[in-house]
Amino acid sequence: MNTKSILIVGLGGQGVNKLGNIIADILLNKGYDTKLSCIKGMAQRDGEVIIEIRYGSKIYSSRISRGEADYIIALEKYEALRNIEFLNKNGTLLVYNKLIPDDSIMKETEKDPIDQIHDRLNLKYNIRVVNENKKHEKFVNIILLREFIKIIGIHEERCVESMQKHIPNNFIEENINLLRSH
Amino acid sequence: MNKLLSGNEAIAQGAYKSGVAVATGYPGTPATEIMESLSKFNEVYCEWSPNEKVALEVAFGASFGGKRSLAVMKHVGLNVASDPLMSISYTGVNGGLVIVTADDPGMHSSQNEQDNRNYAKFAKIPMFEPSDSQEAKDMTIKAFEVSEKFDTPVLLRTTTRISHSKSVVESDEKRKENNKELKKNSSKYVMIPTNAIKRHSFVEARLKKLENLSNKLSVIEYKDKSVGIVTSGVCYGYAKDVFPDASFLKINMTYPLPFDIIKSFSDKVDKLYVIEELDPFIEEQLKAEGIKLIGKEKLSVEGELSPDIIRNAFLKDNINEYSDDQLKTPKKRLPKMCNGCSHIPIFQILKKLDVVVMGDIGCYTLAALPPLNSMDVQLNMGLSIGSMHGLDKALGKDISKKAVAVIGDSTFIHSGITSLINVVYNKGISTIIILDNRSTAMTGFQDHPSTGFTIDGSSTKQIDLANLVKSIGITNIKIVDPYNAKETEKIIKEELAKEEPSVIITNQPCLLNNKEGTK
Repeated sequence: MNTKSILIVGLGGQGVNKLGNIIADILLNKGYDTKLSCIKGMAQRDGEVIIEIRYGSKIYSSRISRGEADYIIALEKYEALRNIEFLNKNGTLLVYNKLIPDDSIMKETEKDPIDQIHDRLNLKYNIRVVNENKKHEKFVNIILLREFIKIIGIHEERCVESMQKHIPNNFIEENINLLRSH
Repeated sequence: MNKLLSGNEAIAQGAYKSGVAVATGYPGTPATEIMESLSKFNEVYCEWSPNEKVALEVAFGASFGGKRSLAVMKHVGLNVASDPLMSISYTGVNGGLVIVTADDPGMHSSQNEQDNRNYAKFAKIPMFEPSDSQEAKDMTIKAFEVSEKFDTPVLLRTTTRISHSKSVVESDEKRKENNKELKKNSSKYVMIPTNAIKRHSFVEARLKKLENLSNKLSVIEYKDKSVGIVTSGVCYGYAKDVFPDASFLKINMTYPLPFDIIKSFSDKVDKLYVIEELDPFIEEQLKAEGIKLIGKEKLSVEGELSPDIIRNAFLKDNINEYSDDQLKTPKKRLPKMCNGCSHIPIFQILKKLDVVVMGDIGCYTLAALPPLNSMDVQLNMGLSIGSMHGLDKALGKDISKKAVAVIGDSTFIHSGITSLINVVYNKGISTIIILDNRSTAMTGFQDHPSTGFTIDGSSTKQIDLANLVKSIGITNIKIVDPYNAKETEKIIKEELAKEEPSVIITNQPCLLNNKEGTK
């Protein structure tokens, strides 16, 4: 199989790394050679986190080139904008409709990052916006995982198996229930 | 069973399988998780040492005793440990001794991007460089064998993208103990000149033998011979992505270089590319041998490489179709302290007082960035107190009333104590703030000698910083609650005004790692 790639972006504290590990494990279990790269910024909370996953029959490097990613999963929409150039023209952006503002990046008066993505690239990307879910804000990674497995065609039970490896026992039930709720 | 492991986890597994008995380190990105993974194995004694020099000395002692040992640090940590490193090269080892240096090209979380391959050449010891997690495990095992067979400490170099990337590892954890015994041999282990002179000859002879091994451990993949690529470590994967049809010489032991095999490879290909991150380490040595190649004229000596960068450099080709305007990436989020962090009020006060802040390494270094903008100097672990004293001696009393050293608890233990002794001994009048949040917070909340816990979470004697400082001879010691900003400001002003050394210690634990159940 040709190499496929998934870029996951978000901020420290959102569970980006966990999401990446769950997805990478699912891909490994499906029999793909899989590589994942994780870069965390210096901040413990709200610093950028970038996960690159590449999978296929033989993978040499985990690094995704600009214009290569088949999927971008963004847990925050400014980070989606920042990394959109990695998406390939037939790729899909799955983005959580939430902006975590920061003085260092943009002013409130600026246009919504999702609109900026449309403007900047002037292309009809496949963009799937997941509405903000205030009730389950702490589980944004699982909310996006639930949507992503539908897009990529992964069975829910395979996903649950992988979640059980990566989520501590005291939180697993709540996470699985959320994955299964539609 | 195949598992996805990070390079760091794979190194831990390799060390465990090799029968490592003692593992030491000081936390530092991207190396930290090696020790955290190893500490889960009961058979391995693991410790966070106060700094990397101590870590390497402890590992050496274990090796002298006949046991296999591992010392783990980030690239700049090896600077701290370089004193014992240079001499352990001469003494050699008894039980295998492997030192992991985790470099950080691109400076994701470091003050520089020094290329620690140079340390292998400098210390005249072998260096392995894995290109993925399976190799990280296999090379760790090989490194222990080489260490014992050639009587040498061995460097295992990773970079951030190896340490923090996951790839498939054949995961078995069968452990093989080694059975060496302590043997006294002062002519080998006491480095007075008469012994060291002989050991230097041994080191030079050892390098020749290691070069033969390096030839054997290199891997050649002949395909299209119009381009041959010499590479190692993480760059191997990048280059394979960009040049899938080229011939490759993959160097597994980066020092000493496998010159025989490189020469025969270069004879068989039309053009030779050397693809390496940071310094022209391979390139310069090859050029010195008269080998024609293309390397750093195409690639920068700064920052990380990536398939994108290599493709642009050699093929002038983008796989994307974006215009330059579309590639104008929006601003990057600056890192900042967490909301509610107890460091914040301290730096708000220092900003208000408009003092010079001699800073140090930890979460609090982020005070240098907006919105706090209140740190003026930060270079290396422990610099704050020494450089504050220098400022004091150079500019006199007045500056000491308008300048302060700021250092975290773990950093103070790492390398601040001796500088504080210097302040007292040489009659300095510096004011020092120890931000004691009872954690090595920035690297992920590791314990250290003043937290009261060891790496396995068990309780231990807790170094009392106030008493320690008192025993050094500091008489002005103030404990402050940083959340009580008014009182804290008053105390900082009072201590700055004194023409004596003062130490102010904050008392709020890290909110993300509060084991004490306070605020």
